[in-house]
Amino acid sequence: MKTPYEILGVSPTATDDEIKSAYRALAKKYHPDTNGGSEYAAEKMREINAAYDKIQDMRSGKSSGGNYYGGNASYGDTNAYERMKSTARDYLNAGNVLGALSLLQSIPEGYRDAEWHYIMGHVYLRLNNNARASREFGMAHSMDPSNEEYRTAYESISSRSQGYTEYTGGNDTSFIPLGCSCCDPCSCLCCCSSLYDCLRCCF
Amino acid sequence: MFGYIKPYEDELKVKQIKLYRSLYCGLCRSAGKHISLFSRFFLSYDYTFFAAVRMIFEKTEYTTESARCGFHLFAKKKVISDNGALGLSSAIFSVLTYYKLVDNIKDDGLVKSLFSRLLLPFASHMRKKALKQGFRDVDMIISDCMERTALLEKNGGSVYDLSETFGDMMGYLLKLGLADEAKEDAYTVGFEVGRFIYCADAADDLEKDEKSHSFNPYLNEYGSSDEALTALRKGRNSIARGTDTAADILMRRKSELPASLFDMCEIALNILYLGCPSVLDGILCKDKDCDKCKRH
Repeated sequence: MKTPYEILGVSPTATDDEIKSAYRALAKKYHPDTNGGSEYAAEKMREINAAYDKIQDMRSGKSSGGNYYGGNASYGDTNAYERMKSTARDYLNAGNVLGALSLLQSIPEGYRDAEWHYIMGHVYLRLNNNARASREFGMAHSMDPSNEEYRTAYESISSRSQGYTEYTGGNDTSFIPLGCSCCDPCSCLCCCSSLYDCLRCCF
Repeated sequence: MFGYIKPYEDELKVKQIKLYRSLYCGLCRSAGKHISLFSRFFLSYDYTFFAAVRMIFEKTEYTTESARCGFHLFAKKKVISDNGALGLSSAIFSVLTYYKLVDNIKDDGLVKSLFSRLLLPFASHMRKKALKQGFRDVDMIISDCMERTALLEKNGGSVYDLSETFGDMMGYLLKLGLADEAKEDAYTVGFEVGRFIYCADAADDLEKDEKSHSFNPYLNEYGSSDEALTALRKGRNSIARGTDTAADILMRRKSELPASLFDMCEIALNILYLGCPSVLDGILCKDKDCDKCKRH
């Protein structure tokens, strides 16, 4: 699932003017008047409009979870980033995944510790992006190997389903265990029958 | 970019192998009929998978016919008759081939891109035929992806961004024109397969790109091909998980399919559950004497 910022191709910390400009450029490209009858263009247009509306709502505080922090990344205050991480956790618990993502992405790179990566992993899990979730949990675990929570999350997402080794071509009752073939009894009977016929001829 | 989506034939029934080959032949004939005779040279088995999945989502009741093969003049082959899924797959590989050649010409020098330059006029003709057939959306989806990929590569994008861009393209292509109830699942299958193709291709090209100093997102992240391979072997499951997700979707849909499509579904499940992980293991193994990997 893509975030509204990814759909518009902007950073979560982009200014309102940058977002408006990106929206206009995309709207011009996918507008139905210039792409008459295109299913893809119509779908992109719907996505872009929904993404722009969502960002507007988030920034004006209308969406659930309330305040928008993006664009105020110049706190320069470690405590403020701790509060932002805590708020991101609250957003996640309240179901406001995009709010949590926006908040976390507005924390500068230098302040992204193990906890940041751990919460980010959960955000991506909720967005059904297991690849990125795995990476974030992996980062959290490598930055703080003693933390049980991070280790459990990483091991849990890393353990693969047995689909690869157990899948044997479908739920088919004719699946043959190793070393045996369903043809074996028949071929055995045929051989015996031929041998019997041979023996009868000889004697 | 191609040749990573193939079945694990040891676990397919003989009739399913024959069906898979007849699907490939059907796709080849469809391309020859709708695009151009030359387009058949660009066909790969990856598109056979695409056509199979499309038929599953469209619930196509396909028919087969006996036809003479242009490449095997003395053999009559059983082929799947032309249908919407084959037509779409033909258009996709024609347009994708064109844009890949354009991309190669832009990235490589004059000498390296000579072969691509020679093929470009033919690929351009293929693309025009696809557009004439009414596949403008296919062209738009692929050109969007190529544009975004070029921008990401220029800005040193991560493998996640790049693979998701390619996955996004495959998702949109697979769901194009489907009924609303199938769109979301079709997009997810296309997305995960597209992601897998990109990651597998990037991993496969590690040593080549390191020697030629070409862009490779894994080299950007890990610095060298050895470091990248070590990390990829550890994180192998996260790449393979995507094809599991896609397979789970098809497995759920199998019960809704007419009986005539069961074998087609089994082929697709084999490719996703077994074929793709096997290909990935072969890429990451790099041991030419290995007797476990099917690739060597």
